[in-house]
This record gives sequence, C-alpha cells and structure tokens, in this order.
Amino acid sequence: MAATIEKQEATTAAPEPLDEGPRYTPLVDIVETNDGYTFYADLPGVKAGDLDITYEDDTLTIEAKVAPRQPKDQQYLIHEYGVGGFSRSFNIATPVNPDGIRAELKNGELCLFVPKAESAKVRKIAIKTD
Amino acid sequence: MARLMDLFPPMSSFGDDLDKWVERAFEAVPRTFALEQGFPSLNIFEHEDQVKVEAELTGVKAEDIDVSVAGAELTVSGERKTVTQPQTTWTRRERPVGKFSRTITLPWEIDANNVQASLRDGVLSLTLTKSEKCRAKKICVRT
Repeated sequence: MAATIEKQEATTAAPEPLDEGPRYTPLVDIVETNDGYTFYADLPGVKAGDLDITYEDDTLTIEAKVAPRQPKDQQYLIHEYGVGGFSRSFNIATPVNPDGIRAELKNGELCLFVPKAESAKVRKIAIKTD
Repeated sequence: MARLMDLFPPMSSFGDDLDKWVERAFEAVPRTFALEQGFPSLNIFEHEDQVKVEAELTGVKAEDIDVSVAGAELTVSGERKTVTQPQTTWTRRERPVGKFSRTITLPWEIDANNVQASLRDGVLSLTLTKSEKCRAKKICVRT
C-alpha cells in the first residue's frame, strides 16, 4: 500500500517553477467596437513562443517571459527600466466568444482581439413606418 | 543607528507563503513609473571601448526612429504612431503615442561614424564606440 502511495506522489506533476526575476505590468490600450475588444499591449523583448494568453472564468490573462539581456551584475551608467516578464489580467464582464480570440505579436506589440458573444452585440432595430 | 527594517519583525515570521506573496506583489511594477523620465526609458552601460544603449520602443517602425550623435551627445527621437482611427472608443489608454525625443550627454565623446543600431522585438539596441582620444590606453612600463 505504501508503495502505491509513493508511486502516486512520484507521478504527480511538479508545480512549474515561476520564471525568475521581476515581473512587470505591461501598458495596455483597449478599444471597444460592437464586434469586440481589441487589446494593444507593450511587451518589449517578448518572442511569440514565450507569450501565454489564457481566457478562463471571464478573465483574460496575458503572461510573457523575457530572458535577461545583460548579466545580473551589470553596472549601468543610466538604468531606467528593468528587464523581466510581464503579467496582467482583465476581467471581462461582457459575454465573449473565447473561440474567436486572435492574437498577433509584432515588434514587441501584442494585438489581441476578443470578439463579443452574439448576445452582447448591439442590434439596431429597424422601425417600420406606414 | 538602528535601521528602520530592524524595528519590525522579519516578514518570514508570518510564514513563507505570505513572504512570497508580498515579494511577488512588489515585483509587479507598473511600467508607468519608468515613463516619468521621458519616453523612451533608456539603459546605458559601458563595455570596454563601447557604450551600449537599450531603449524599449514597441510598435515603432525602424524608419520612424532617428538616432544622432554629436560629440558626447546622443539623441534618440522619432514618432510612435497611434494604431487606430480618430473615432475610436477607448476603454483604456495607457501607452504613450506621438513624437518623442531624448538627449543624453555621455561621459565620453562618441565616434559618429561607428554607430550600430538594431531593432528587435520592440527593443532598440545601439552600440556606440568611444572616440579615439577617449579610449583607455595601455602604457608600457619600461624596466
């Protein structure tokens, strides 16, 4: 019995270690149209493979890893920003269509489109006149 | 003189979890803090006879960036164009747009003919070379 428990423990996936170093909140612009929301996020130094976008329980999460560009003990003449991963979550109250989420990363700028669910779109009602 | 931190019990006494949580909360630094010095934020460091400059310029095209060197003065300027049409409804707008310019006086004169610039994943990297007269010279000691 003890052996079985031991085996169970061994097969349990170890928690993924969080990436080392600081994390930053990226600056984000959000544009709303009748079709959905477009998020523009500044993610300098992020490559497409290091970017994770998830949508779960009405929460959209953007997470990105950035490898340090300089050694840890680098001395700077001017040091105005730190290099590290990015993380930010948004709670979207409007019903959306998660299958239609599209993301594009170009030149460190993420463009993410989250379409609204059909039920959330504004419909113009035609008024008949005689 | 007792430091301020010594007056308080270490956070670890409340439990490692809380300690980690507090650490993570402070790690998530809003990028807006960095913009108080002007746009773009710069990191500059010396590497032997070279001076390396890094600036985060996401979404800016290479042709919209101007880099100029005059003596010890470095200027990075350009324009970050807005991505949307004028009648756009903004739900949130945090990213700076428009024309930008930053001039930095370096401790050394720079060889204007020897400047390399590259733009990758929204990070502008400049490699400047110190002018001949500013370079460290090794003096041979005769015995």
